[in-house]
Amino acid sequence: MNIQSVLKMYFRDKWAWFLIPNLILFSVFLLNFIISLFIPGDEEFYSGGGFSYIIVYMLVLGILVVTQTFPYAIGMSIRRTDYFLGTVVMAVVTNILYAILLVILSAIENATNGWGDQFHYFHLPYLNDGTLLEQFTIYIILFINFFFLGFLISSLVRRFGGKGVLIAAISSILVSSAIVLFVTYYGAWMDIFQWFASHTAIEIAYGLILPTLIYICLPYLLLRRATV
Amino acid sequence: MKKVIEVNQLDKFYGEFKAIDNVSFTIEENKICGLLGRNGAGKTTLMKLLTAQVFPTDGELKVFGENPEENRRVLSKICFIKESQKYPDNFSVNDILEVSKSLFSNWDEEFAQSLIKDFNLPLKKKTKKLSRGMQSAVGIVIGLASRAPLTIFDEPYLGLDAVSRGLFYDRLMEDYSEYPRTVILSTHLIDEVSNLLEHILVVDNGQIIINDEAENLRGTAFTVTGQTGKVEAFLRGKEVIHREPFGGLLSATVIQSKNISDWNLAAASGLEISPVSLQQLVVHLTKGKSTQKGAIAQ
Repeated sequence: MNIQSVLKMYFRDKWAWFLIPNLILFSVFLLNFIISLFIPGDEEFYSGGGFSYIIVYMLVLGILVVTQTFPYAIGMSIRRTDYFLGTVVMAVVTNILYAILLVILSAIENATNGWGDQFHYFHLPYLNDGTLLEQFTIYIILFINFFFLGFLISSLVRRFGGKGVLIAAISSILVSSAIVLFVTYYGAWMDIFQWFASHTAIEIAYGLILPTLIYICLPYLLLRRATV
Repeated sequence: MKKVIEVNQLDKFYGEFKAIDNVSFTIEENKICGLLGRNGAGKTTLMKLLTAQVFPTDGELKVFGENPEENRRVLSKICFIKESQKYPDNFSVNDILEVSKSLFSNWDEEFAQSLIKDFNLPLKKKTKKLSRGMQSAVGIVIGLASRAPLTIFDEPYLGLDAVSRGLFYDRLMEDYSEYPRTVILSTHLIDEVSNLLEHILVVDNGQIIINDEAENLRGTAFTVTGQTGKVEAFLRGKEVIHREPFGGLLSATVIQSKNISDWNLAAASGLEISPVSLQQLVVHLTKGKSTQKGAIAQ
């Protein structure tokens, strides 16, 4: 089975998948926790939010994965389909682990009243309002969404080169500018904010499932015809 | 003999540029085949087509009797080591060996370790930090130890010293005689490998101009040298691929015609005859025609 070989390839790269993200997550936590110790009184201290580091890292990892491993995998006679499937399995499994880690840390933070010092890093208002299962679902959808957004961007580069990405970037800027223009023209900003406020984090996460599935499928179509 | 590769009217165009232009050939099982030609002639494109790394514009392509594109059965039998092969930055030599072990079913770990020793490769070092020659050596270790039924080397020894190249040829021949397999070797160092090759393909301008057994090719051409008049008389009606006058003398390279014994004839007219090496033959045949367009188009 070639998917296993792809997984084996990713497991050899422990730094990119496990060590670096954890290093970022916990060093920022430690730094902020030390800062929070210097804050006098009962004041609550909210810091960036541990989950956001993983999200950004997943976007970067998604981009790096293709540039680092696609030419190698194809060069080693791995099928494009197997490379894609192996990457999906690796990304989903890894992100499930990160989601579990963050849910556990958030629960501990909540139970210890912010590590005994009202320090909020993993457990945030709004985001962590739901049940543990809901929190887990939000994380997993967000992480996978961002990983495959990066993966999509990088697959686009692989398939169409720099020019293709430029065209894609310009057209997405044009489309989003048009949306902003229309929203402003019809004075709909307040409605949009209210819509977000009236929905819980988990409801919004559910809304991200469809775009995420698209992010996952498009790279397959791109990589299927990509050359090295 | 079983045919490992069957190519029929294959085209690969990059825009206007014809990298591979209506090429047809077959390669038989368990032979060492040399793929020769100038830079940009289309060698690498051809090998990438065979391994489904690029897709043909038109034509038929069969490897082990099937289309290689997204075909696990075919691809798992191929090991393609190219000069420009990239490895992930974070990977050490050991990481690459571990992944290769899981990829190639015929992988021989003992053989791989002995090759690592031969080439003095540091297992723990990251591939990014290896010298050009050592990176080539890593490719050679993978290519040999994988024992893939179809092993393709594309300029495998960039930056490799003469001792290591000799080592590569020796190990290839030793292992090949013990575990026969189909090997395609693309190289510019034709003289070095001409004794290894059993079959020769010469690519020029995207087309195959020679497709023959090495045995037949070695006697194909010879050079006659002598007084210009005598040589000119001798050359009449023969296929001349190269002329080099100096003073009153002329040296010409001639393709041996099948029936007449030109050697005797030349000797009778008092001309000096010398054999033409494979490298000289290829140089003469591809000189001046090929351009660098191929390399630029990619």
